Amino acid sequence: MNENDRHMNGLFSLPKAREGYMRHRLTADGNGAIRLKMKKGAFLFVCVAASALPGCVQVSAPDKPIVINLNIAIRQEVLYRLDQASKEVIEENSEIF
Amino acid sequence: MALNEKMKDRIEMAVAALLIGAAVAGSGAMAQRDPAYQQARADGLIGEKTDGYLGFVTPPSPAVKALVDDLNIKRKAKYTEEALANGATVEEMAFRTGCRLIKERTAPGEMYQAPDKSWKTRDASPPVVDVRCP
Repeated sequence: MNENDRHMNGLFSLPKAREGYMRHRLTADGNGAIRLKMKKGAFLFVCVAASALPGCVQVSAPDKPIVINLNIAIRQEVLYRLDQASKEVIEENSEIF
Repeated sequence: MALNEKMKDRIEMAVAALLIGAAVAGSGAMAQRDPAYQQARADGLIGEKTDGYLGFVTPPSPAVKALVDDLNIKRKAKYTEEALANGATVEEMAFRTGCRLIKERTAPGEMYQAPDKSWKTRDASPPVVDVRCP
């Protein structure tokens, strides 16, 4: 049994203490935990990665003006419906027709 | 006595209302075309287009152009009013009225526009109108 083995088997051996300490630093929610630093780092990494991705959807203003066609087709059923209105508009404004 | 006075007032008001109504109706029926407009129609300088507005058969004089522009603006105002009231577009209202104007309000000798955009002189036979005209 050498020096090292003795340490490993002991109740408060140095390697075990170090391992415990590191676990505490990485996972515990104690003050100044490394986990917090890792979280911040990961967030920063996602931001940078997202902005650098080539597959992002590109939205750009069209170079041609937007044209809205107001040339609405004449609806046949509406023409039938306007029978009375067209008659009245002529009778009531005969001076302009 | 007081009742009598009231009734007298009412009768007077009713008579006045009737007289005003008759005057308004009379003026409506009396509305005539401007003589210059009537003349331009009769001379074939202007004609009814298929879209419900007046058009120039020959290049117009400034006076005729002003006359027609004014009438077309007034027509459009009326078409807009009626279109709104009937859930139609202004173009639909104008077109429908145009069909009627060509069929019912062009006298023989006056000009109208055929669906192919050519000007035709109205005669005793039925005018050539757009197939969409009801």
